[in-house]
Amino acid sequence: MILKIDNLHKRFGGIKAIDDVSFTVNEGEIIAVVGPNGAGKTTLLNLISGFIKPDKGKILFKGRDITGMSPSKIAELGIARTFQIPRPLHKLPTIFNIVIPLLSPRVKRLTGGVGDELVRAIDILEEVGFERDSDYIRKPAGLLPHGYLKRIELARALALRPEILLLDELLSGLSRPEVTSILPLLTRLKDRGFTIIMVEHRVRDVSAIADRMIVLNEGVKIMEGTPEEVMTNEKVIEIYVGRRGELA
Amino acid sequence: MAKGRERIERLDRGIRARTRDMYALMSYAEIIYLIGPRIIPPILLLVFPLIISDPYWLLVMSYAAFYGVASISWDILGGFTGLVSFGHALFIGFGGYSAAILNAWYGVPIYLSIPLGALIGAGLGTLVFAPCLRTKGAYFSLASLVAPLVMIGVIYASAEILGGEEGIYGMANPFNDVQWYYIFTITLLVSFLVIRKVVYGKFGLILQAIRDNEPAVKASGINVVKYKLITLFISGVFASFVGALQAHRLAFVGPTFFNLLHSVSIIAMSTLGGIATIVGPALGAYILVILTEYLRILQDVRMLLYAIILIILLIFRPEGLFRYLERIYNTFERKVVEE
Ligand SMILES: Nc1ncnc2c1ncn2[C@@H]1O[C@H](COP(=O)(O)OP(=O)(O)OP(=O)(O)O)[C@@H](O)[C@H]1O
Ligand SMILES: [Mg+2]
Repeated sequence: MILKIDNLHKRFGGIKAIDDVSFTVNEGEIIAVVGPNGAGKTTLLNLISGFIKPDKGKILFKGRDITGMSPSKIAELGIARTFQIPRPLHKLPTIFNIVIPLLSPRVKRLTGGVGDELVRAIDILEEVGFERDSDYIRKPAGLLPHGYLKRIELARALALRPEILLLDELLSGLSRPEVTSILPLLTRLKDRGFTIIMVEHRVRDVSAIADRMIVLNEGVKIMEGTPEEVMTNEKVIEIYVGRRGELA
Repeated sequence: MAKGRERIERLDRGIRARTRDMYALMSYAEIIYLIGPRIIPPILLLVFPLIISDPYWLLVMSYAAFYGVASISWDILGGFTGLVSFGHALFIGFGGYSAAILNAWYGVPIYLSIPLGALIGAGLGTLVFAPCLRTKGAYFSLASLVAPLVMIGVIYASAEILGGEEGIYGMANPFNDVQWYYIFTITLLVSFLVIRKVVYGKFGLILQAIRDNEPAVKASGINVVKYKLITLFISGVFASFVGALQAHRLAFVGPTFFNLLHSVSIIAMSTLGGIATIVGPALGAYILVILTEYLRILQDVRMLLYAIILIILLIFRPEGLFRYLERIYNTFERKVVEE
């Protein structure tokens, strides 16, 4: 067990964004967190990554209580995240978006400070689907199309050499070919030992690669199980059909 | 040789086409083109007293260098890190008072009171600004605006300790006008080189990243608050240093060192010259200081003048003068003969 979420609560005014959620994550797993709009998925990732503090409850990373730690400290310990709405360093060239995490204390510690950040940044960008000699690598990141901004998000997280990757709707807004190119990448990352928690809206896409799924609705954990169990569950179908029929 | 057609090309194009990072220079024109703008201004500054020995203009130019240092140090914060401080006078004041107290009260010699004053001033300023870092954007600007005003209040209130309105007198001033001119001007040139080194290295890259998108930098495992504090301190050392110089030069330090006019002037100069260019704010300082000397009548309405300049610039040339001049300079042309 690499991560333990224990009775987590978070309110925004009258809204219970996360309402007594608990679960555990094992090393090397892909966990998919699914749920309709406003279910609390992003809030959950914000809580784990330290961007917001819970009202109640605990988060344990490898047995260590990380509740309330700062985002940079949590990243330093080995939990990296992406943002649902990409947050590039828009004025800086794409490659510098990846150099920044490479300059972090964590990466310096893990690599002993050897190696050229620019070379490593290009390797990482290539890994997430940039062409090695593409113009995009030197262009200001703010000028890139949406699909590439999502890839920058993933590359920034990977650059930290984390143990856990928190991916917030990495696939949303991507075209079909883009989705089918990223899914195998995630499986490869899992094979390399990363633990992945991915938040997704579209259950179908993630059910193919997830080991387990957690369903959130209005801040509450509705159920947890294998993709088959979740996809055939009456309650889950009802939530999705009730909303928009996104399951299909 | 076959007579080729003549064609005009930009002077920098040949240099760029031939080499990527290394300059393989082909002509004197190119050499002058490249290094001219880098060495002519400092040389002019260094020979200025040989040409114009009028003590009045030496004083004005020393004053411009004083503001030049303050403005380029502001640029690390406002330009590169996105911490737009409206209270940079805090560092000038703390630097001035620290040096004054060390020298006038404790007899610390001038060659120590100035550097120590700079370090202590930067430390104190960083401590005061630290709580302002909790606020972002315009709120940081507002919070920073208030800090030096509070210090003025503190000084007025503690007349017995800090000299109140009267200030502190009697610091050592062993230099003449020409010497002070060189002290201020060389401080500017050295500050420029050091600050450029800081902001165009890895450290500066992190600062620009913070300006661009703070959450992304946090998510990159970098302690943003730590970087902001270090940056406040580095920026503060330079501003406090010239504050300390000024305290010795005038043999006086008073609440005016924390004056809002300093803070506003620094922002006006930086905006005029071009934010986040380092050299631009220094250029802006020389222009505004000399301009206000020429237009003496405007002295009393300086604040208004600066406000108007700021507004005009923000509308018509938000990039600032330096970037504008740079663009014009890059379009210098020459005739080439096509073979
Ligand atoms: N910073 C905030 N302030 C106030 N309310 C918030 C805040 N963040 C989230 N909420 C509310 O909390 C609830 C959960 O939001 P959250 O963003 O976690 O949902 P989500 O599952 O990620 O939705 P989506 O699929 O649209 O991304 C929503 O009702 C939202 O309006
Ligand atoms: Mg969300």
